[in-house]
Amino acid sequence: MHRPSTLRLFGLFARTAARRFCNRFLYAWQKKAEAKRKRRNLPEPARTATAHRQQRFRAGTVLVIFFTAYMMFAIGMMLNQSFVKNLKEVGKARAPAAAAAQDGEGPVSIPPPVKVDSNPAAQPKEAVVVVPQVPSGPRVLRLDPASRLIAEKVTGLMMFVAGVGTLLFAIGMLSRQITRPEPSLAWLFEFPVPRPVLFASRLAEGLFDGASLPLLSMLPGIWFFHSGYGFWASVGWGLAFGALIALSLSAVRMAVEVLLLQKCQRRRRGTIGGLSAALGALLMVMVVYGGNAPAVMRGLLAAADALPDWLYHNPFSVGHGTGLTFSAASWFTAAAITAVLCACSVPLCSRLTKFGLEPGLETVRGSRDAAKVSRPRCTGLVGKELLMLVRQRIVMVQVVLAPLIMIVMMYFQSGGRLAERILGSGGALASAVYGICAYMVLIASQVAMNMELRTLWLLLSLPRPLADSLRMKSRIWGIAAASLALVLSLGAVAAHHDLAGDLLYRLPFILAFVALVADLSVGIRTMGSSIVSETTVHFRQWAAWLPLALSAAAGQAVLGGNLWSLCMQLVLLTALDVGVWQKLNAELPWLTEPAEDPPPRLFLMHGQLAAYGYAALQSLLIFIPLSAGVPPGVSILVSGAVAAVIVALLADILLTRRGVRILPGARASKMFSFALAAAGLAVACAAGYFWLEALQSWEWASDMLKETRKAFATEDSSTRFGLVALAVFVAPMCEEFIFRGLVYQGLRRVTGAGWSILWSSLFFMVIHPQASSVAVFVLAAVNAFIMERTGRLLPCILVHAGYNAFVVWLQWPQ
Amino acid sequence: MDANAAPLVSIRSLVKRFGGFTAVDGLSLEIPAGCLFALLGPNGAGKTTTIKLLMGLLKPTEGTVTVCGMDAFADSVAVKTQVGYLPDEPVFYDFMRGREIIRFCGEMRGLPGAVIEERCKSLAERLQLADALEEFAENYSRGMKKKLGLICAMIHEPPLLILDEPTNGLDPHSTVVLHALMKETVDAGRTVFFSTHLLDQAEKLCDRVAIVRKGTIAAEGTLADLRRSFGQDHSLERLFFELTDSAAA
Repeated sequence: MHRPSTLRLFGLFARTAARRFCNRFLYAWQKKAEAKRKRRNLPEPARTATAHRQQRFRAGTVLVIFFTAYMMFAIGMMLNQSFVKNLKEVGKARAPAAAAAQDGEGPVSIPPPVKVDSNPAAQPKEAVVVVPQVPSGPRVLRLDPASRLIAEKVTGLMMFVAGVGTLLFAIGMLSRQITRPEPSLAWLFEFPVPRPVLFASRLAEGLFDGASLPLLSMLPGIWFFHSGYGFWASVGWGLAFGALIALSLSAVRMAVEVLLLQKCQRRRRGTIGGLSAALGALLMVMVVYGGNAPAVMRGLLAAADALPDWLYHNPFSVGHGTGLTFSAASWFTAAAITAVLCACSVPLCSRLTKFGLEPGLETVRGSRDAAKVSRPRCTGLVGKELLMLVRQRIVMVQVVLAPLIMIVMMYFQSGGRLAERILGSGGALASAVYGICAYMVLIASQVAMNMELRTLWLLLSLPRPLADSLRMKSRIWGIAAASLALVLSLGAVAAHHDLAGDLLYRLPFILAFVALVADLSVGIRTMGSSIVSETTVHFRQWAAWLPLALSAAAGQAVLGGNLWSLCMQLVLLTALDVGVWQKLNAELPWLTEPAEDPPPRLFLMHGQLAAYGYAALQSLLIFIPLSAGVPPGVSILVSGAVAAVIVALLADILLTRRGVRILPGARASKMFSFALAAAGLAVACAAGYFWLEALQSWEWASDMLKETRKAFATEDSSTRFGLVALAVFVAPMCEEFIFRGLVYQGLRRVTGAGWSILWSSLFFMVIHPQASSVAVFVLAAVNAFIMERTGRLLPCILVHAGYNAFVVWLQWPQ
Repeated sequence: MDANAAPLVSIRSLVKRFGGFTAVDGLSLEIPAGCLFALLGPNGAGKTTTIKLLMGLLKPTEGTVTVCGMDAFADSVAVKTQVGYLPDEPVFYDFMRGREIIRFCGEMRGLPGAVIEERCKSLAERLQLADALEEFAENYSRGMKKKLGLICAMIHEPPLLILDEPTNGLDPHSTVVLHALMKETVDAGRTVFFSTHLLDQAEKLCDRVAIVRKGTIAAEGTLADLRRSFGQDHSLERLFFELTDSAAA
């Protein structure tokens, strides 16, 4: 009998996992290969279903990622600043002498750098203590030595906590072994391989499981880079440490999964999985937000002092924490711990499966008593969702624990003064209520969608559009969470009468945000699924995280309580939701179709992408002429014009050349169109004039007006020229094309003229400054009306240019 | 059967390509109402693809598929009110009992609870699934899942029943019951369209058969028609091997 050698088997498992990982990307590259093949007239290869579906909903994916990226960036910057500030504070308290020496000299005043050779082979094997002497320069953590030592210790401990949290989360959330009745182990047991060899070889999978190795290597890699290593040396050492982390994770996870599988009944496995995921989430929250709370930092520091050194040298701490970051000792310790974990997990798993897999424990029994018929209290889709919640422990535990996780998160965010902060202001209380409900709805909808998409054939064989069934799901969870928000708010109002005003003013927004988060979460999860067949689906991780970031942005608006911010968030999130579901409604019938594309059509999403893209491009491009010494005014004009040209070109390539008609075609004579434009211009200018007059008479609006006038009050004539040219020539053309072309027509395709005018004008309004809001809304509504009646873009551009010129004239400094 | 009546299912010059691979290649077929129709063919001949096209899960590259006069892809929601579908390997929701899944399917089709219970009871008893209806469906064996899927497909008594390899995984007793159910469905004036590679099953049951080979129809008609065309002494098995070039004998 042929039997593969252990080494060969190890390679086989590693290769298979790596291959699966690479294939995801190879499929995306097939599109290029296809274009090349067509050019050369080569025979067409068989196209896989996955290859095609990886490209589905691309526009939606780009939009959602784009929309959330800046929010995550802002939150990340905020947390980092707070972490460094707290580190310094704690550092000063710890080492007053060192801190006093630094006072008044700014954050960067550190001893000369230690030259670290970028060639790892040239590193001496004995311990090299580098902590007190920190390399300076842009890549180095700019901290004084005392703070740096503390940073290392605390970060080492935090990394350990994060590693354990990730592990627990992975065991609870991502493992199919303990939640599915048919583990892949059963399949592997068919092969003529001894169990210890099989389990040892499976460890290799951990190296390439999904994107784990690159991701796990990133943190240590960044740490090495910040510590003065060269780029490639950091990549190499990062990968080496990442491999140790991946192997350790793989070993622990395999052992725990097999243990649960063999020793626990399925429902209990669900409970343990749910608890594990929730605990993992808690630990990760603590690491992410812990830097905000000096009390937590002090606690971590105390723990860091008390804990033995080897803790920092385990794989999860990435070897740093006590100044021995780059020492051979830390490497040996980490490698030894990894080896021990692997060596323990393999015999444990072999022993647990000595008599094969326990079939009796794989499943959970319902009632065998046929006479005892269960009478459902709720029926249809609602009943099904509630049954899932009650019976699927992994979901229930997390949904129930979600408020707890949220409270812990807020505790750290409030710098350890939760009760004082939350109960001291209506805004914090409102954001707490919103946070609890949003987090619950996110977890519930995500887990429920995972299950729904795996049994797609059942929904597809029913006489109801798939988009309807899925949206019903989001509504069920939206209503459940909004009801909870209502109950919590009323309870809070009853307990704290003094906060009632602040809370009740935000309540309608909270309810709307919670419902929107549910809708977006289900929509984005569907867009982020790669449907291979009606019973097989692959999930992409970004689809689980993006709704979380979106909900966080709404939470910030609730906390602030500014009416304009709240309205802006509401309109932007609603627009995103409408865009996502418009696309899904149109293209979900094609979800199971691998070989055909839905006909290209104009969606609201295209308008949103163009609008955000124009704004982002303009903000980025302006740095090029500015850095070349071009005057600011010219830079503004050039960047605006170039951004407009790029957006127009992209629209031409992606839409017009693919046969999508953006404008509906002329519906009225030129004479009528321009007469209507003249009337529209009069209305828009009147609105602008009266709005400015009104603002001047309101005291609270004076700051807003000052801001806008400041722009024109500059002495620099080039800046004035640039702003005027942008406002009167470039912006009208570009904005009319985006808002009356892409956005309005995208909406108009699926809704009536009234709703389209209202929503496109609201969207136009919120991306303009607050000072011009009402006037800009009137302008947008007038132009949308002109577009509806005439089907021509030129009259709209002229009205916009005329209005902008009029407002500039009104604002011009006397 | 009225020969002039409009066919329930009409497939015309159907082509389905997946990139360079042509799964269905110019297939034309008409299924009259009230008949038991079997689609025969070796593995990979295009049977399941044809069924998915009928269900509107795929869009034809060329040609048309109409069910009850409606386009199977464009009007797929309306088509599904007329159709009950059993896939080859049905998968069910976690943590839902068999009875609850049947009830869910019935409710999604607008049936009152009492009707669902009544039909579920009679079908489950005949298929010997009644004892397991309180069990979570994901614990079912493959055959039990197939039976549950069959009840879900038949619960609304659809004019057209589409079954993909319905006897795969069924025990002999259930196979006999399934055959009886299929016959009764046809006797009640409804239509059953199923794919199979079991020739004796098709020979015993069917009014009409179509033999698919590499995505095209190699032969189609009643068994008597086929015998007339290919010689009286031809068994369906011999016919099948001749037409599909798989000279197993």
